Amino acid sequence: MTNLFEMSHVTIQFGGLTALNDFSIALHPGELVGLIGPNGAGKTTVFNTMTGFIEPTRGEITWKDVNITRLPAHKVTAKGIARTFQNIRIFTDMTVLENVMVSYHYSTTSRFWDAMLRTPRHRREEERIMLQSMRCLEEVGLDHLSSEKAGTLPYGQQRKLEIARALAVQPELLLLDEPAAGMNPMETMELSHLIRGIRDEHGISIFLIEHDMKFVMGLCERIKVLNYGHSIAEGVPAEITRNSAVIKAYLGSAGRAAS
Amino acid sequence: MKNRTKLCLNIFALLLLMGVLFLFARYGSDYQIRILTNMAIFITLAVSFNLVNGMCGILHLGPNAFIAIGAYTSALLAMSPAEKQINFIIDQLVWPLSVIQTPFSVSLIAGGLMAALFAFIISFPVFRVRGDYLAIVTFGFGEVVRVLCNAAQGLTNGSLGLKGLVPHTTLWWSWGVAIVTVILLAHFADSTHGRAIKAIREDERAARAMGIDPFRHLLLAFMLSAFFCGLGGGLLAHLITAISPTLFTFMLTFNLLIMIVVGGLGSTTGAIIGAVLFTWGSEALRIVERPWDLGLFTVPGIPGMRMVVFSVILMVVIIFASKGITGRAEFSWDFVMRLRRDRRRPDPQ
Repeated sequence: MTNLFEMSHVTIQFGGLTALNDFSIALHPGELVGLIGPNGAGKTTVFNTMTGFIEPTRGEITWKDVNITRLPAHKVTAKGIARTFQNIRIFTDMTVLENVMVSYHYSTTSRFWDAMLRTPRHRREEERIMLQSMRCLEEVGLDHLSSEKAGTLPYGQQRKLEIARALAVQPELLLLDEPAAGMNPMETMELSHLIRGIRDEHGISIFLIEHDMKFVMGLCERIKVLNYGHSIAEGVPAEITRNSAVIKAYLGSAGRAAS
Repeated sequence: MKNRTKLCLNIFALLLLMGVLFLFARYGSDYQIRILTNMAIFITLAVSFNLVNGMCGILHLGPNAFIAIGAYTSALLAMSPAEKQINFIIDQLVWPLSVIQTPFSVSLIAGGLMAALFAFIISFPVFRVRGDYLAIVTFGFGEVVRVLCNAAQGLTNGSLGLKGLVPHTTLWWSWGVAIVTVILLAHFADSTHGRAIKAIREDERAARAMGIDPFRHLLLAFMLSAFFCGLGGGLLAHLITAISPTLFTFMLTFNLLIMIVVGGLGSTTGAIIGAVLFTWGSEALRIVERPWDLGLFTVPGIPGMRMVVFSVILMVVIIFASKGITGRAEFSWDFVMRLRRDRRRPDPQ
């Protein structure tokens, strides 16, 4: 099987601090993979590197066998990698629909003079992205709120809006940074169904960071564990729960606990 | 409401505006016409300034540079060679400019293009930074242009300025440009490009993650803004008929800032309202600069008192209504219809 995305031997240093050390991961098409690790393990750094927000100190990142290591963030997105953020970053002062329509911007062909003169080309395109955006909102169940200001939505719906906005980029790889953070068990279950539904319907790969172990173990097919910037384990959920290195990372070693 | 109805209403409103202007042109005093002409120029300037400061959400403090470049370019192109000869007494005007003369309309467009070109050149250092730093850089460029206007004797006639321009700017010219600017920029703001720059304003990181290149979009908005500021500058030059570097100080930027902040930062409607109120207000407030006779003694008139009043108004707006008159809302016929309906059908409770 060819890899959709590959990160090999990536090291990231911020000054003297090594945030990520010789980290490698390969993602296949249609996979649902989880990334877990204690706080400060470097999970979000992995995401930021994957999406072009941080340039790796060493190592290589490839997308469908094309090197994208030094590509800026907006170009990485255009290749087909979309993401959500750990602390919600929606466009609060724009409507829910506009939030999603922004994601279609990179795919539009009408120039600014088309927009200023309202040419037929521009009108057709606006209509197209509006319909597509509405469909995205329907998928996450926010279509009835399309004309609300995004900032007025409750927390759980803002999370969903972020997912809808990322989906609107029409990615082949979707990165979700703690999608279930701050959600109650009901919402978490709902989200789990939503994410699986998105994967099945669009056939895209999903890579997610999460702290809720029940959520990750139930949803992901493969899990990677990170601690202090090192990858310490990788495997199916059942293996990970038994892995001694993982238990040690989360709970500390028996010896240290006793002393 | 149907798009067709809206179009009809828009055309009707435009005709109504034309009618009012026609009546003023026909029966109004010179003073009134002058204020209206000025008003339209400031609408052009405020709306294009708002595109950068309100929509992109960056604090740009150098529109006076764009206006100055537009004004000088347009003035130098529209003046007759003979007039230039009279003006440039210390140093001769550089060669190609000293002989060419273009129609007013061409000179206006050229002024806009020159301003846009300048915006393009300075955008590279400007957009490397954000926030307060960007404000300082643009403020610096604003001052640099003013100082250059003072120093480049052979190009701008230095501090003597250019005098005896033909008063080309009529009520119709200024309102025509203002209406076209408002329509084009409102369309731009309400398009996928407008949404992209608003997304950058809301959260630049998230916008980048959605595939938007901040530099390209900010540059586009910056250059568009500069172009229309340049047009406004050309109109201003041919309204006042005499320009000098002192006209394009930071004061001009400050006045534009008052307009868009009081009107509602980020709203084209707000910028228009702000510009109208400011131009009307600065005439109405002339009374505070006149000597006051209080019976027992007379308070002498203080020149510049109007700016103090404006500053106080600005502070009051920032403290009590930080979003300005309209906030970020735009005028729409749907809103007007809702108001009417609400009035007709009283609350059932």
